[in-house]
Amino acid sequence: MKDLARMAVELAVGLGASYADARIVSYRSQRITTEDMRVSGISDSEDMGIGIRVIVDGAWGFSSTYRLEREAVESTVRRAIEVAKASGLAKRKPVSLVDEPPKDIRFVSPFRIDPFSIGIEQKVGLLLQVNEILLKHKGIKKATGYMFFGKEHRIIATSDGSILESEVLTSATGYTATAVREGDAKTRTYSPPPRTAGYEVVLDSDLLGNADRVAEQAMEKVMAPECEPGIKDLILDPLNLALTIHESVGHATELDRALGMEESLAGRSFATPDLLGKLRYGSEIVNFVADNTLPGGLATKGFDDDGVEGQRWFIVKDGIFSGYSTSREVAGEIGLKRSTGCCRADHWSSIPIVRQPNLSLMPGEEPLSLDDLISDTDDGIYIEGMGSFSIDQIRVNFQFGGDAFWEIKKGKRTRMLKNVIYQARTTDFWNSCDAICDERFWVPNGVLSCGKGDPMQISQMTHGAAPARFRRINVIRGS
Amino acid sequence: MREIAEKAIEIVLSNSKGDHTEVSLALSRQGATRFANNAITHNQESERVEISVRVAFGNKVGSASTNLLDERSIVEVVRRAEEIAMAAEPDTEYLPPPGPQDYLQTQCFSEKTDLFGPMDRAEAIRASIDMCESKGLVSAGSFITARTDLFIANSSGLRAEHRESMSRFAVTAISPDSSGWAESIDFDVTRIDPISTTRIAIEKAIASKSPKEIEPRSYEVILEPAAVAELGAFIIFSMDAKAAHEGRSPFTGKEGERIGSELVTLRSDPSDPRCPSTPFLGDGMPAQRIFWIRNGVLENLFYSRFWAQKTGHPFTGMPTNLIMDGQGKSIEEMISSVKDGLLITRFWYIRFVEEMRLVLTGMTRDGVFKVEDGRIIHSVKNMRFNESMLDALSNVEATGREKRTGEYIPSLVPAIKISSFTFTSTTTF
Repeated sequence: MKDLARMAVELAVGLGASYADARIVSYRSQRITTEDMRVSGISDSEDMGIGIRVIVDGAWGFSSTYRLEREAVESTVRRAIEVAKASGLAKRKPVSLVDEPPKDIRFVSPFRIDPFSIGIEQKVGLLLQVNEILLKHKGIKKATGYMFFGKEHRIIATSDGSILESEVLTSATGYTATAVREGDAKTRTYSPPPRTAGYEVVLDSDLLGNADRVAEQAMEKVMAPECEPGIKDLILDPLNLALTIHESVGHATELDRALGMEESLAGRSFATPDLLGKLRYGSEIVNFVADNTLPGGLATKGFDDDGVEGQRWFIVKDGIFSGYSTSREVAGEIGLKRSTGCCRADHWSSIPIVRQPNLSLMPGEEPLSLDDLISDTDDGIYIEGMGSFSIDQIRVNFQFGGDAFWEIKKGKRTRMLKNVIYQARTTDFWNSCDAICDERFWVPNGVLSCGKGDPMQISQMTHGAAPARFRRINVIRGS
Repeated sequence: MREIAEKAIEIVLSNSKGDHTEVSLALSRQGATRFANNAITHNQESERVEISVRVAFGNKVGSASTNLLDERSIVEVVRRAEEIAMAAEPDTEYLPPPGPQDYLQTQCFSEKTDLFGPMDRAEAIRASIDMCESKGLVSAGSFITARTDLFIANSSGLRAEHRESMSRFAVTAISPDSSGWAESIDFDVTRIDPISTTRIAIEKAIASKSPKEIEPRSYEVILEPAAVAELGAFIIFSMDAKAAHEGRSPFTGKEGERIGSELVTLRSDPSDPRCPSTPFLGDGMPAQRIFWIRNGVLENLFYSRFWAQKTGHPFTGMPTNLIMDGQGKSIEEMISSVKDGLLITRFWYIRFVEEMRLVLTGMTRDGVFKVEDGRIIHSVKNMRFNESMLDALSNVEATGREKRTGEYIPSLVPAIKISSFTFTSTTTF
């Protein structure tokens, strides 16, 4: 396959491309779903193809095919050249890539147990056992569960002389209980962090051990009072923060968005390059670190589809906006000498675009536990898990829910609430952060279905955080 | 393509040891050109294929898929589906695959769309960019064309085949403090007019300059068709009968009841030439011509084969398109009846807030205008809404002319006027 990729690149260069890369990717995935003690779906898919990207006369072209015979690949290269020539009809300035030294590397994501070596019976049996525990609880009317395993094998050849190979396993699992009572229905979800790892993600998750708690909390939630709207202090758990980080920091600091290149679908960003190094994004204790070398991170793939190795850098340092996620194309627009390595495609048939890295809120430096934080809060709400989420297209006005909510009164976690929604503007919110628990409480959570691009592409990345407190946030009733 | 599909289907059905076997094959080609900052930024072509096989032993079911079309790979995918089925626990809702079906006639394919190439897309985009630049505006958007060939067969004798094309041109025109958006969608690319589409985006961008921030509260609203289709998709896909019967739906206990204004009629019709859609569903069952809400009354929820059989209700399947019949009023007529309201071009990032009352949130985008005493008085900075769609359906006061829109479900919907729609916060632009 490496030879086929090299051949495609050489042909493209011979046909006039100033830059070319060929990406041959194969996928194997398995998804198992259960619902109310039945197997609602088991699918196993494989998929393979080649995507060829070229720059001709300073304009991009891309073509792809599932046919990997030499003739089909040659014809796909010619089509990519044609597409690039068409792009030249509406060119503002020539595409220019920042340098990346050629390399020959192979990356394999570490794992203990290959999920594809585990029998279907074992996986199904575990999910059905969870279903059974959930449904034993009176009032739980629906129980669902899932497992997902993916294996991606990727070969990239570039006209810079790089030849790269990666093999990455991703594993995810979780389940939901729905309680129905007195005309209302509420869910509680168990979402252990997905990782680039093997079946150990399932084994380490203690699916059975959490099922009674999840069912009981679903029942408590459906019977809980609605929250009183108003200004509250919020304590957010790492899983809830993962989505808030994703939407209000991760997307906002994608350089293609900041440069206006995503306007046609995902939108732009308030965090424009003129604010780099100046904007107070958050309070002084707020540090966001991008890290595509993070062990188990969903964006940890060795190198991106530009052939740039995974790196670690600050997006926000001591509260100040400090960096972007970039591709080789956009990095030069703000004077970077090297891309931060965030250019990824979701499939061999998709063109690589700037995607979020693994991006985490760093833990507090002083010892602080969740219990300490709650004890120190007079009138607030503690929120766990992901719920409703929405943000404007330049990433300023956002609104989030959660999966479970507890009232905090005079330093005590009291009763559950339901229909809690918080709403803020991005920099107001992160500047209101006055406490972050220490590294003992830091958890890397994953986002499995981040949509961006037009046509839409779906990508994955990890967002770590420790519980953190946000002062005086507007809380509304979501009903 | 048909020969390849028939051969693959024959290999699957003749090699399967299952009690029941279903196979689907989809071949798709797509061309997509994106532009931003008055230049083409991405440009791609792709061709993909997928063969999916579902095998059942009794009610133990397994599925597998591949994009490798050689005989050995196809036999291998059948074996994988069989192995999964044999290892699986029973699916108590499984039904054997349906036999041969009759389908509505739909015309969804245009040869001209299929032949529309990268240079055709680039020329249209160049013209659109030039129009925006001549007005001092920055343009962004995309032009996408696609073709899909779909084949379904099963061991009960069902055979189904469908070919469709799609083309969509969307453009946003941007000034330093405003933006305007418009789109055109049709299976036939010759009915896409990038020039008139761009003209609408430009007019909106210019009209929405110097927006004012206003108080977030309840307003009368006129939603243009794109905004209606976005909300409509959330409404129509919440209409699952099983969820309603299990008490998990905003439509629980409401079948046959009035749930909206008499002006609200939502239906599906795959054969409507203005908005055609695939005539069959994933298992080969026919897509229905059906009313979901008629004159405000909830006439049908959607019933899967299993739930239809269990409840004795006729099968409906999922909606394949969304049609809302309009009264034919113009936007101007609707504006003239507004005392204190907003005209909204489209929404962005709509999500559920509370599913039992169908409360949604989202932001306005690319053109919001304040209307007072029957006329537009100025543009408005974007705002966030939080609104129950059950309330919104009840508060529909007027409807316009149907327009083809909807990126994710083919939609043919009018602009609508709603007497009260709640906004809860503002943003900076």
